[in-house]
Amino acid sequence: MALFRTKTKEPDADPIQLEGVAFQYGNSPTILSDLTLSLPAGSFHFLTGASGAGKTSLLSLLYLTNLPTGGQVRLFGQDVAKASRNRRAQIRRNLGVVFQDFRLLDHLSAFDNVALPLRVAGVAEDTVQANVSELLRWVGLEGLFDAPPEVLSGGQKQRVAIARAVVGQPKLILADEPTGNVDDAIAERLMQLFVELHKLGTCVIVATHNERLVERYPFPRLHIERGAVSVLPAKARPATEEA
Amino acid sequence: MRSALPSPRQSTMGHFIAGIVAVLVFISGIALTAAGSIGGLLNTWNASVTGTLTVQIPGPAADADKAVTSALHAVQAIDGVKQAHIVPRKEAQELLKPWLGDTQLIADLPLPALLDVELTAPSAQSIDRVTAAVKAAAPAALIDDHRVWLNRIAEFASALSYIAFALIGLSLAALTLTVIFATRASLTEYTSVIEVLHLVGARDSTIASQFSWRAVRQALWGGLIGLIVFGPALLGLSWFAKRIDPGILPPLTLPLAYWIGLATLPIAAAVIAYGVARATVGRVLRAMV
Ligand SMILES: Nc1ncnc2c1ncn2[C@@H]1O[C@H](COP(=O)(O)OP(=O)(O)OP(=O)(O)O)[C@@H](O)[C@H]1O
Ligand SMILES: [Mg+2]
Repeated sequence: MALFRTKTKEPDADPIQLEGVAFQYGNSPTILSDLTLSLPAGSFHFLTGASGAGKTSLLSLLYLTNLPTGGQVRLFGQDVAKASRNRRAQIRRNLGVVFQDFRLLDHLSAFDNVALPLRVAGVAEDTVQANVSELLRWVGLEGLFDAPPEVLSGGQKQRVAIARAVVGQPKLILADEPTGNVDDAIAERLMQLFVELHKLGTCVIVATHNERLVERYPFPRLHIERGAVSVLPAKARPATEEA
Repeated sequence: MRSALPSPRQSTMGHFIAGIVAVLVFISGIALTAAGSIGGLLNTWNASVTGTLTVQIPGPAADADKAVTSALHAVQAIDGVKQAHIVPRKEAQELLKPWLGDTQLIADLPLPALLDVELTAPSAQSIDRVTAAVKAAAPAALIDDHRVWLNRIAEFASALSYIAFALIGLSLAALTLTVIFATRASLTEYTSVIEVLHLVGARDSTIASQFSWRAVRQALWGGLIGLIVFGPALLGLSWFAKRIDPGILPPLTLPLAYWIGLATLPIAAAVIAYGVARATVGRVLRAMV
């Protein structure tokens, strides 16, 4: 894709640094305990684990809808619990998030939903027009630019959500089950977006249940089980990366 | 400052804010007009009534006529009396015709003899002097100085203008409360919009100003509609007032100061809406990380 031209500038600190991170909702059982982990720029990880294991919860600490109940989450070197609200807003502008439930704005067209992060960041309108159009065509939504989310199928909404996440070429991509509603051919095409950004230096995490997806790519896995996260090696042979 | 972020279409609650501001501006306009013209009404009546006294002398016509003549002479001698004249019996009888019909009955009625006294400058002293002189000349005389009647009218009128001002006060209170609640309610409709803007990295102040300027536009728009509807209503009312009798009702117009007061209502509503919207969005956002 011509859209992502420039190599992402190497940040001074790893995009994600977790130190003794613990998390639970209120008084509910612990979801994560004592997680220490550092993910560098340009890394790509799958995030796996049974349903209810805590994948979305871990991601929510990274896309800043929850703060850790213990330990420290540092994004781009910033302790998120200590960062000011404006600083957090700035961190969010460096994230591309695909929410498991999409979170599109119902009153906006597919086009305007994808354009939202660019407009929030104050990108010039002609750049917005060009980039959003190119991306929507890439994800196969040509002709649905003006459609509001309510008339889109689950898979189409998911593609809008992915387009919105990657359109600003963020430094960190957090995708929660991004290919759950599309067939394998489209899933392949969508994964290509993430892979391309990864090659340009974006740090990517893709949470998924889809074993076949995990097996097709040579990326290591973060596996959550009973509150603990282990890093498992890639299932696919590195050779597939060339494919 | 307007944000470049696209806003959701006007909500039902947004229309509600505009509507309620329109209605309250209209009501306040009517109340202001009422309060303003009651004052004018009082002045008109005061001017035409306080300067005159009416003396009645009851009793058989011959005696009464004699007494009224001496009362006339007594009164004319008093300083401060502009003029006095005896109301001819014929004239008094004429006045009764519409009620009783043109019958012999009227001629037979034991009507009092009447004396109209006009004062140059009505004051309690000159009224008292006239009263004393009349009483001395004709002890049976009854004097109506219209003061009691006028006092009651004045009390009634000032009660009315208090009510008018209370109405304005109430509509201001209603306006404040409604704008507060409607703005809050309209924002809860938008919690998910606020959340998504927050998640894609919009600053709190950007999000808050987007929603508060919307609330401001709604309030101003509603106020404008209220004023626009009030204009013709005022014209209509004053047309009806003119038809009654120019002497009884003063022209129904609103002094410039009142128009300015009225025009500040939408602005007040807008300021309230702005503050509430900012506070509410701020609260919604602070609940998010
Ligand atoms: N907002 C919340 N409040 C309380 N408990 C929650 C909340 N969100 C999730 N949980 C609980 O936390 C646990 C982990 O949920 P989470 O959504 O992180 O799982 P997941 O791995 O993403 O599952 P899935 O694969 O089904 O999406 C679950 O037991 C869930 O019930
Ligand atoms: Mg999940």
